[in-house]
Formats: sequence, C-alpha cells, structure tokens
Amino acid sequence: MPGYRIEYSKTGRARWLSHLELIRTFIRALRRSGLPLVFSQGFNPHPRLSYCPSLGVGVAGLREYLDADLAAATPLPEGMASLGRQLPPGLEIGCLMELPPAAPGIGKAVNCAWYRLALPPEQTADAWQQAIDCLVGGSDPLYYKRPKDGKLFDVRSALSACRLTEVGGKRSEAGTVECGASPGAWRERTPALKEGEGLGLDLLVDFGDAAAPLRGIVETLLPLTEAAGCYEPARVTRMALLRHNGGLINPLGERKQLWEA
Amino acid sequence: MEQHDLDELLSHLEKPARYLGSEWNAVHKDWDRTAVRMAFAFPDLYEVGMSHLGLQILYGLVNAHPDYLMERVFAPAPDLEAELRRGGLPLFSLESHRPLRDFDLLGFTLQYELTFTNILNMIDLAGIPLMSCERSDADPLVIAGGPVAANPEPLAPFIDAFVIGEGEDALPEVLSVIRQAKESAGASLRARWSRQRLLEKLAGIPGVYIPSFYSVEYNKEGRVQGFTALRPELQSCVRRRLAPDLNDVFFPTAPVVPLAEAVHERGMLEVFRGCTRGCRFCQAGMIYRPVRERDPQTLLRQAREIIDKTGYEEISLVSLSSLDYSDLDGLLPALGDQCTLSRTGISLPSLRVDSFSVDIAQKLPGGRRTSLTLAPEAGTQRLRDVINKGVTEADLLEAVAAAAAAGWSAIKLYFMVGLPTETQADLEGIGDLVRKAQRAGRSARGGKKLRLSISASSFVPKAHTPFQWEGQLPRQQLTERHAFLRELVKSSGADYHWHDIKTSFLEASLARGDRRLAGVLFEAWRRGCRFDGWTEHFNFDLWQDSFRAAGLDPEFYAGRRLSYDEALPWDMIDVGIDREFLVREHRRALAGAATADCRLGSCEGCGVCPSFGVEPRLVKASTLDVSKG
Repeated sequence: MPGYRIEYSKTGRARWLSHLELIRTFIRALRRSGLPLVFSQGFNPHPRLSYCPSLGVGVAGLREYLDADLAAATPLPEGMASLGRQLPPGLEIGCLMELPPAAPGIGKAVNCAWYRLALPPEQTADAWQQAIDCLVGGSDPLYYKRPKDGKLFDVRSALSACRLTEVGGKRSEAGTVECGASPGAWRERTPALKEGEGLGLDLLVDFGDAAAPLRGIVETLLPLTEAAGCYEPARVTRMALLRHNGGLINPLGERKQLWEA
Repeated sequence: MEQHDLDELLSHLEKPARYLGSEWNAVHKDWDRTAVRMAFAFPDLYEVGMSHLGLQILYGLVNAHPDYLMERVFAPAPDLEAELRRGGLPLFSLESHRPLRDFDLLGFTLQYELTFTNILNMIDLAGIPLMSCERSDADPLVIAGGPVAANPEPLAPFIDAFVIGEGEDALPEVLSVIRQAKESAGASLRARWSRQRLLEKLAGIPGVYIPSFYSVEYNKEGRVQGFTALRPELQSCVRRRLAPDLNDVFFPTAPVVPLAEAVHERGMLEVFRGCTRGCRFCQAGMIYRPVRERDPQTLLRQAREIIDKTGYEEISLVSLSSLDYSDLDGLLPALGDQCTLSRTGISLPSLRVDSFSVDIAQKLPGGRRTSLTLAPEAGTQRLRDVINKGVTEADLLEAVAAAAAAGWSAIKLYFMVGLPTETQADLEGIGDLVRKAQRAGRSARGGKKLRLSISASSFVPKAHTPFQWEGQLPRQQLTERHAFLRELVKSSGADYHWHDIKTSFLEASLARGDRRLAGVLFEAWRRGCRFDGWTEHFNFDLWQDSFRAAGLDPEFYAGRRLSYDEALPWDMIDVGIDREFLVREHRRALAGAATADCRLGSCEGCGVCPSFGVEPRLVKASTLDVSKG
C-alpha cells in the first residue's frame, strides 16, 4: 500500500493547537476527506499516520509534514484537494507526494529545523549581533535549565547556524555557508540591517533528546542583549524541517541551501 | 480583539485551543449583515460545554437563520480570568473574539446548579451589570434556559428572562421579538425599545418567564408563601415549551468539532427525548415527558450526515435510556452497517441493567470497551421499589455475567446513598450485591477476577419530582453511611468512589432554593467561588461564609422535609406534570409500590399529555420490559 507525505502549514489560529490537538484535527479531516486510510489492527483501530517532530504551542510552521498510508493509489491533485477542503482555518496543504517504496518515514527524514524569531523592537541590530556572537562564539557549554524538571541542556551544541535577518520587508542578502561544518560554524553576518522593527533571528536547531528546546535557546539569548522580554511562541515560525547530512535536504527530497525556503 | 492582542493573551494560557473559535463547522457570520446577534454562554469549561448537545442544537438552529447569528463563549478557566482582569479586558466570544457587550443577547444554559457562580462571573467579566435591575437599555439582554431552569429562582435577580422547556421553538420567537425591537427603533446602532418594553413583549411568548414581573411573598417561618404576577396580562404560571414531533425539529448534523479535547468527542444522535420509566428521584424523567422517538429513517440519515461532516470516530445514541427505543431492530442493524463501512464506532452513554442490553452493546461496532457502567441505584428490592427503579438482583447479576463473558474486564456500578426510607439493611444490600456480582463476574471469566468499582452519590431532592418534598440527610449522617458502605465494598474486593458530600449538599440547597439565595450566590462569587462542581476549585468554607453573610441557612433548603400543602419556590414554573400525580407518586414510594411505564399502554395520569395536547410518540408498539431499569 502506497505511502504519502503531506506538506502543510500551521499558521493563524491553528498555531495555538497542541500536537495532540493537531493530530486529532488531522485524523478527522482525513476521515471526512474520504481518502482511503489504512487502519491498524486491534481493538481500537486507528489510521496509520506519522507526524514530524511536534511544534510548540503558539509557534507557526510553514512547512510541516505528515505521512499517511493509503489503501489505494490516489491521484495527487485530487487527494490534495479533497483533504484541503476539510481542514479548519490556519491549516493548509502545501503539497502531497507519493513516497518511494522503502523511503524513510518523516521521523527519520528530518534532524533539524529552521526557526525564525521576530525580535522585539527595543534593541538595535548591533546589540543583537553582539548577543549572537556571544552565544555562538564561545566553545564552553552554555546551559539552559528546563523549569519543569531542572534538566540541563547545552544551548551552544544544539545550535547549528544562526543569523540576523529582516522579516516582512525586503529579504536580506544571505550568503551561503557550506554545510557539514562543525556545529556553531554556520554563523554568518548579515550587514546593513535596519534597526528596530522588522528584525528577525534565524536559527538552525538540531533535534534529539539532548538538544536544547527552542525556548531554552531564546531565553538564553535574550538576556545577552539586556532586552526585556521572554520567549513568546507567537513570535516564532518554523520555516522548514530539514535533514543535514553533508548537505541540507527537505522531506520532499529537495536539496536546499542554508536559509533557503 | 486585534490579532496581536489575542496572540499575546493566548500565549499566557495553558490551553489556548479552548478559545480559538476556528473549529470545523464553527460558523463565522458577517456581523454587519445579521439583524440579531446572540452569544451562547456555557457556564463551564470548553471541554464540558462542547460535549453538550443543547449547545450544538441551538447553535445550528440560530445560525441556519439568515438574519441571526450565534457565537459561543465558555466559562474562562482561571488562567484566562486572571489575564482578563489583569489587562482590564472584556470576556469575548470565540468566533469573532468580540466583547460580549457587543451582542444583543447573552444566553446561558443551566445544566448544573454548581455552575451558578460561573454565570455571575461571566456576566461581570462581560462588563454587564450583575443585577437585571441595574442594566440599561444599552446592555445586552441576559437570558437563560435548560433543565435547571425548572427552578430558576436562585438566579432570578441576575437573569432578565428565562426560557422554560425545549428551546428549539421558543428561542427563534425570542430572537424575532428582539429583531422587532431593533427595527422599530430605527437603524441606529444599539437603540431598541426600552428594556422594560422589550421584557413586556418577551413575556408574551409562551415559555418565557420574566422574574422581575413576579413578586414572592414569605411567611413568618421564612418559607415561600406564594408569588404574585405583577401585571394583569401575565399568566399565573409559565408552562414549559415542548416539541411534539422530533422528526420535524432542527437537529445539528454538522456540529462543531472541538479543537481542545472535550470530555466526550463523538457524534450525538438523539434517538428520543423524554423517559417514562418514572424513577422518582429523576428530574429529567419528569420534565422531558412524554417520550418522543425519532423515526429510524430520520436517525439513519442524520447518522450518515454526522459521520460525513464531522469525521468523528464514534457515534453515540443519546437519550435518557437509549435501549428503550422501540424499534432497535429497525435501527441498529442498518446503523451498524453504515458505521462499520466508515470505521465509526457506536456507543451508548449508559446501559440498562439487563443482559439484553449488554448483548446489544457488545454487538455494536467498536462496542466492547474497557469499562461498562450499570446503575442499579439501590441495594435492596424494597428500596428499588421505593424509587421505582424496576431492576432486580437477577437482572443485575445476569448483566454482569453477560458483560464479563463478553470480555469486559471492568464494570462500574452506580448507587445512590441517602435515598428516602433508606436503612442500614439497604446499605448492606449493596455490599451483598457487590459480592454476588464479583462472584458472577469471576465465574463468567473462568476464575479471573472482575474489576468492579462502585460509584456512590448522595441523594439530592429536585424540583418537579415525586421526591421534591423529601429532605436530604444531614451531612454527618451521609458521611457515616458512605464510610460504612466503603468498608463493606472494600471488604468485597471492589473499589469505592463517592461523590463529595458537601458538593451534593450545596447542590441540594440550590436545587430547592428560592429567590433569596441570589444573595448567597452574589456573596460566594464575590468571595471568589468559581467552578464549584470541580473538586479542585470547590471551597465549602467560602460557601458557608456566604450563607452566613446573606443570613440564610443551607440546611433549611437542603434538609427540610416540605409538606404537601406549602407553596414551593418553583410553583410559577409549570412543566405540565400534575401536582396530584407527584403527591400520589410520593405516597406510593413510601408504600413501596411500583408505578408502570406508560409506554406499556396504561396511562398513569402524570398529566403531561393533556397539558400539551400531545401523546407519547413511539415508532413501534413498545415491547419494553419495564421490570428492568
């Protein structure tokens, strides 16, 4: 039975759905769509679906993924349309792709994520750049302690790349950095940014049990600028999910440059 | 509310999905093109309210009308309330995130007495004056309905108008009057008739009760002596509304599908309304009479639509006792086929205590679950006859054995403690039943132990029931009885859970309350009482302070045995049941005499059918075995 990968965005009101809420929403949308879902065996059969690493509540995602097994080959445009019609506001299908046989599931197809953080306007670009330099410049572990259980995470080792950018307005002239360098080396400068509103921070963050959560990275970074404020999920967008392994590749199998949409 | 402010607010909340309003099947109407805008207010959390059929019915009904708009609002969880108060923000609707004050009317549903403080809180958070008499012409109208409106008196000063009985008919009439009020006032924004004129017009709608149009008199002992209609044109009492044929009324086949996980997430198929088994403690069994079944064809069509339009994994057959539906043979096989095809389970909210019900439940698609609930209610045949719960020990043991044999590994039995005439022997009877059930379960499971859990609540006398004159036992005695029963049950190897006694006590004092209790509600709300039905929020000390501050004794309301000849606080509400019938039923209860279900053919004279000029509407001549309940 063929496997499919759905690329979707989660924005607007839907960004506030938790992972479980999102899963239930998708299951029901898929059931309504009439796509031939494959169900597991057992007392409580459920559709065979797998999801990409969860997005924090409040964080938007522009390219998120869901794998679904279907009982019969489904024409892609029709499948996309019938599911698209059933999604509540804030969830939109980007594309539907048939997975090659034996393709790795979505869980294995990604190992890092590109986040974009809209920065609070109080600080200048220079102040942010200094904070970034400080964050990625050192080599000692920089710990974040997770409040709920006190677990320590090394923020530096989780961050593969990071840059200041403009959001909303014109795109920054981002240079390309070779992939495969050691973590922390993907930092780059983006000169001549305007100060204040419209400043964004791009972060390439590794997944994994030991990897620092996004909140930890942001909360470690903010004090470095002396900016008032805290982690606000509504200011964060997950731009892409990627796998880096000598280069960057997205879950649709496309090679990507760093910071390439 | 601006998107930015909303995001800022949501980012501080534990479960923002409660307040998004972007659910599948949520209706977002053009505000400027609708003549009347109503907010449906559910005075409990989203998770509870979204499981409620009444909300889905009225939401679908009103929004199906081109000129009316209905949005939803739920009681804000404590984290949202704190944010609203901190930021001086008004409570808002889910769909358009507008302040409730922008609506023409705000309608509360009354499902449970312990949500009353949430109602006060929501009115206050909306920025609307708490008391009806303090509201100006520019304030939204505040109305309320639902089963607890069968005794609306404790809320009387806070609510402008109550809608008594089934809302499908009455609510559109209310909205139509509001529309007239706005139109005749010209095109200006909120201008409408004066509040007083509006209330006068509303009072002309059958089923609408305007509490400020009635005064209540009390005697020297502090009992209600009677009430007076303050206007000559008013009927002396308000009769509830009733839909004679459910095949004709609106039913929501595209209900809003919750985003935050609700208590029950399933498509609700209402197979019938009303129940005439006649359990004497049961308010729903009195105030929704007579039994009105939907045709199997209607139900099958509705089920199909619900499945297609919601994607729910499960359909639930909703009613007061769904397996009493007279044409199960005509309904279940076809419904089962339909559901199997779409991988949809069918569930029953409660099971009748007999092996027939268990067999049926087991055969439903997705029917065998981990746990099954049966409600024998009382421990001896004598007491079951008193409450008119026609279930025998043999029925229960057969049902348990059938369930255990069919693979259920856990069974929950539901009992009530403190029922009228209850003695120690009745409690021992429960222990005895539990032991026998345990044995029956074990032998049906080939020697493996059955997980039995006993859930016991305390009897709460309710208005318009044969037990409305009975008092609730004092708390001390209830505590002793639960403790005694707990030991008995535990020694029989079953779990024992009891419903909090203070909560039941408060419920009883509000359920039979009069208008003066509004003072207590106000004091309790002012002291911070919210979500009183939730153990983690309930603060009994604050309630005791509030009763004291209002100069009232909760025991007077909860515990007092009323006499047949005294006036009752809810006498202005006529649910269509003859008082003589309730007296007769009460007397028969004390004599241990059972009363038959009228579905079997013999009318027991409750008075509902002549009151409304209707008849029970059964799809097939009933083959109901009423000895089982």
